[in-house]
Amino acid sequence: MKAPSPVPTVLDGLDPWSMTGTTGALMLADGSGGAVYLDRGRLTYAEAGDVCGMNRLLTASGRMTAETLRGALATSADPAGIPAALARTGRISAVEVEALCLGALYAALLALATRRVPTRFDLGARHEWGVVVSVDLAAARTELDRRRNALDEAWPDPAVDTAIVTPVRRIDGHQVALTALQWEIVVNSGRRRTPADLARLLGRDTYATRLHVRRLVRAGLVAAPVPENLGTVVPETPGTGSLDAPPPAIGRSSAVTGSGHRIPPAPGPAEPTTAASATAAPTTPEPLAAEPASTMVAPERRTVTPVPAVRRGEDVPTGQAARTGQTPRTGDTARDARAAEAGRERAGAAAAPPALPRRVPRAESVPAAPADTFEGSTNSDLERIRNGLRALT
Amino acid sequence: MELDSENCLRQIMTIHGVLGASLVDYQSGTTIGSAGREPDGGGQVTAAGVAGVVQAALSGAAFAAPGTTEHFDEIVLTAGNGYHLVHFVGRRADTLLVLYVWLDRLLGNLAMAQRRIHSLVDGPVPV
Repeated sequence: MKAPSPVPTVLDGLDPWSMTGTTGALMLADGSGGAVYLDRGRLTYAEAGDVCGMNRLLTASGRMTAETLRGALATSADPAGIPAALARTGRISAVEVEALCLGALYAALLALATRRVPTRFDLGARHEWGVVVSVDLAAARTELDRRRNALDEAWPDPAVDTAIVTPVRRIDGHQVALTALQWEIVVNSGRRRTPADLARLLGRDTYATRLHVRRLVRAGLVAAPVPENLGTVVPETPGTGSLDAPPPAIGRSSAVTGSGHRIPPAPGPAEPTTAASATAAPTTPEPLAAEPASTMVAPERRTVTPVPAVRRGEDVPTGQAARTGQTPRTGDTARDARAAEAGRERAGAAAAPPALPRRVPRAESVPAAPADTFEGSTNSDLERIRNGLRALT
Repeated sequence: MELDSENCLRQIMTIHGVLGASLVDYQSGTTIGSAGREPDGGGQVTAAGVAGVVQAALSGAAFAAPGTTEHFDEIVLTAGNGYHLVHFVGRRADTLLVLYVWLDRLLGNLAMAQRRIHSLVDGPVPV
């Protein structure tokens, strides 16, 4: 727990209003547009700036047009009749309206709950959608805990929630089964949208989208974001079809996360691409550049060691790691420059075989420490890596 | 279906042999409402269990040939303590809810219960 702060969290700020059975809205005074609506002490609706709200859930998902929605809302004289009025359009059932509303409430509440910002309470304020569901604060706390646990279980690094969703270029296998939501995420990510952007674009529940993105990361279908102090993500695109790729700067700036103290156990073949460009490692004594794709005969696709430290050849006894470790050591400045060139002029590298994503650490920020004291990883991570390497030899 | 969740569950509970029912958002694992008994006695576990069953079915590559789309109408689990029905609610394109029904194995009639659930949940909604 954090030390006591003069400003309570938004969730704690709701306590007195809930206990006294007040009707109104707790507004966040930080200009984010966050608000939680209460009706006689029970939560009825919540909005947060980056969370998909009811109107968008209904229209952007393709369920109904904005006109249909407006028409249905207008025909409902009694606000409590909104679900039934929407059901009469034939586009959605009343139960689904409830489910969407509850989902929007919890998703926004999850985004707001732990924030410590000044708030004000508007007595008597009501929201258009604040009549469909109502939950008491204790039940909401239980549900928020459940959701946090589910997110943690799917993938423990919260950096995924704010990073660009970057599906891997190739899968490690013959086929993959995707649910409808996963398909939407993968197809619409465009390598420039965050999970929240995707939810808003697709009209999907923001929490469900985040959860599914985390699961995709765990499955190795979406690249895990790289913490800032360990490496720089530069999407390396195959020689052909690279024109639709976004400029690397976008991926780089948003994949960067504030904390970045830990590399989550990333699946090996799904590593994000890093090409050591001249700007990425200017002061490296032993450049850790990946070989330029054009000179790579057989890329080490099955490297099972996501932690950069193991790539430092001589520390690691196994053959595979030694091979990957030796590769950069044979490199010289000319090759390094070619790698940078390959990164800049991707279209020019048409002859290059497509290389799978690979992460290369930023040399100045990663101390040349022995593998077992590498501070970015937990002991269990290293234990697993060591076991994996042992199994390979 | 113009029924709200409470009325919907009340109707389900009138089906002969139904021990309990709940509406679960299977993508987020959130319970929208529940009625009657639950196998484990706690709604959290039931919702998580239902969401887990749905995820397992959806992610089972064995059911879908590569390159084709597939959808589910219902999952039926036959267990020692009864039939567990997981019925997908709503239009095929964007279902987000499942109706979970726990049916007593001796008192309940699986086929009848399925028909009632289908007509109650899917009837007026165009597919």
